[in-house]
Amino acid sequence: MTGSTIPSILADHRTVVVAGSGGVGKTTVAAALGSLAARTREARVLVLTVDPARRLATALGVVGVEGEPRLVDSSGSGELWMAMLDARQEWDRLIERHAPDQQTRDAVMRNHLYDNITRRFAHSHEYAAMERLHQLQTSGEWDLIVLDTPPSRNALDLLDAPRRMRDFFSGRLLGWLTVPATSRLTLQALRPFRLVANRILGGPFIADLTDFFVLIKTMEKGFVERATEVESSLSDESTAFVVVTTPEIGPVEEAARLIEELDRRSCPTGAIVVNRSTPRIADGRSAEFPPGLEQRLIEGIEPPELLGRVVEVMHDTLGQMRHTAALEALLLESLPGGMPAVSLPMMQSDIADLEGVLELANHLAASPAALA
Amino acid sequence: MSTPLGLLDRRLLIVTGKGGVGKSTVSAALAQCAATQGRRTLVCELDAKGDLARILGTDPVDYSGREVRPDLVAMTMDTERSLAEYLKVQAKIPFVGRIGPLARVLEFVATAAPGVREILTIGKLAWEARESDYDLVIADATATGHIVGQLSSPAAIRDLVRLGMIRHQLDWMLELLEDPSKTSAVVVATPEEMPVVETIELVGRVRDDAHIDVGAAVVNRVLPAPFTAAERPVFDTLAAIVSEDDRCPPGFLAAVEATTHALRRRDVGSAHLRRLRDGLPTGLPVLLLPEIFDAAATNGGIDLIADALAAEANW
Ligand SMILES: Nc1ncnc2c1ncn2[C@@H]1O[C@H](COP(=O)(O)OP(=O)(O)OP(=O)(O)O)[C@@H](O)[C@H]1O
Ligand SMILES: [Mg+2]
Repeated sequence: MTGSTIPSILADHRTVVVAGSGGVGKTTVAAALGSLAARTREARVLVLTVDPARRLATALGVVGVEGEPRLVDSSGSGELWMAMLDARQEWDRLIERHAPDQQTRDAVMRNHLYDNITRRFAHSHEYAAMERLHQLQTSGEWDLIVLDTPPSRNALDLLDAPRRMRDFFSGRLLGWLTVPATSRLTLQALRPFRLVANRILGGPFIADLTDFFVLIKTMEKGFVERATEVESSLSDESTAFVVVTTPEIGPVEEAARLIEELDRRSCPTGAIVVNRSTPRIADGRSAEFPPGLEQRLIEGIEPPELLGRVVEVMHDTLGQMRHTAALEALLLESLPGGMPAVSLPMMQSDIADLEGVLELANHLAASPAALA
Repeated sequence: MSTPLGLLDRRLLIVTGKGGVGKSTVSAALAQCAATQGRRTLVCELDAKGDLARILGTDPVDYSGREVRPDLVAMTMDTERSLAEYLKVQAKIPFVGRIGPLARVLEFVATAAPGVREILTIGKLAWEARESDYDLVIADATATGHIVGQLSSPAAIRDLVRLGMIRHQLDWMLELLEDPSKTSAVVVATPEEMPVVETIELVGRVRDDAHIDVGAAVVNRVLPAPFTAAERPVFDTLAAIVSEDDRCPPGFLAAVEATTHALRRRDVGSAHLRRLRDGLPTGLPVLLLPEIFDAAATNGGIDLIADALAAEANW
């Protein structure tokens, strides 16, 4: 990856997955990456976002149109589109696609556990995001898709979602729960499990569950095949990962773990983005009172006796900021080197419109230095 | 505020808020305040990342818990061990080994049966608050996205499960959770755009959907005002004069620039704080905790934060 920059990563891949721990600004960074690509390439770029900062989404016009891509900016050489994930809708589509017949489909959707389960089922949110990504990738409509990953305690839940889905179907327990009541041998082996479950949860509930999973099991083949496809598209070389962090201990540790794990799965990290860094203020001794100016200041300022105190606070503030910047730099040394790393400064106000996103994109475009 | 805030008189405090805003920090500070008052306190990190122990300046803790300072026991949640404990203690099924490897059973049941993992978490907390000799149990809970589901899991399961022993256990659990003199949520925010928006929404949902009292909002990482009201205009005039005069040495300019940046961040934060106050129900106490700049030099700053919390709450 040596020599690559953020713009080259955007140019050389068809999918860019933005990962990192919660609250580091993944959505904003994803929007900025997409916007950079759409301005510098003649490309149709889609940012697929999950749980975005509402004001950003509102400003970019993607609230209330969950699921469907919206054109956000076409003032550059390409087009920037954004779409928001609607997990529930994704699940409905999945059931629609994999149900063997209309009857099964209706039965699943009517089951009163469906709503609950699709939100928890084998990390359903992550799976829904992967599923949607796969659909968009194969639609042929997009030159580049930037995926803003769902908030999750462990950013790797996302990568694990397809495997979990497979494990769920191949697990013995699903077999047990859905075993035909006529199979005496299996029923015998199951007795302890059923006993405990019935005692704690009650027979009728277990029966409801069984009904539901008998239905779901008819879709096993479709689900498993799909999970495998989605998984392989992630380790494809057309996919790059960008890890986002803030210069704080928790997110940096999470980023380091993530980078290591991505490497282990042969999906190496393309770049690190350090969001909300303390700005570097130009050097120079945080000096004395400006000599020639002193008289003008004393005359212009009312009441003049406060001047000394104000100047003292200013120098303290500068010292503080430099100190923080130095601590941040030290912390970032714990991240693996050898890949482009860009620092995005802490902006003076929140990023809530296209203009703010464009400003961040400019920072991303600035040629990054690899971390030592 | 002249009377001390009664939060620490509850049996169970649930600390929640958007990811990364300082839930673990605030939980640790609340726990320190309670223990300092001689209340026997259990603080439990639900997502088991290990942040809580680190913030308390101690070695990692696990489900068994450990007294990390006088009257303060810290633990992390582990739903698998909570299930084993439940089966053994309450369902009186001693040989959990007989129903297969517990982890796999749990994984499956938790996937299949909505709310099982959540109920094992809430159930353990409620059990400790009700049955053990702790005066106060503090949960360093999950972030905004999951907390309402977690807190309403007993009610959700009660609607789904019509029979079975879990039914009557849910009844006492709900009684504890829905009694504002026993259980309160503490919602943590930072003075930033998204945490404020989410916090306002969360307070409503915790009250209306989970039927749990919200005892206080804590705004963490509030930047200190560098200047007094009288000094601020002096700085503004100074910055204006300096900007149009090229005799100014770079070191001085840098100080002006740094201060301008700090002031603007503080102003943006104050605007968000105002928005938060306006959006929260009237009468809900709002406690402000300062940004700690040199955490490394102050042992992570937890003592400073606990002191600030005690001062804000009048403890
Ligand atoms: N008042 C403060 N001043 C400075 N830094 C703080 C303050 N409060 C928290 N932090 C820092 O912010 C980071 C996040 O804090 P903490 O771990 O308490 O958040 P959390 O809400 O529990 O996060 P998560 O959602 O990941 O569990 C930590 O690095 C912590 O040291
Ligand atoms: Mg935490």
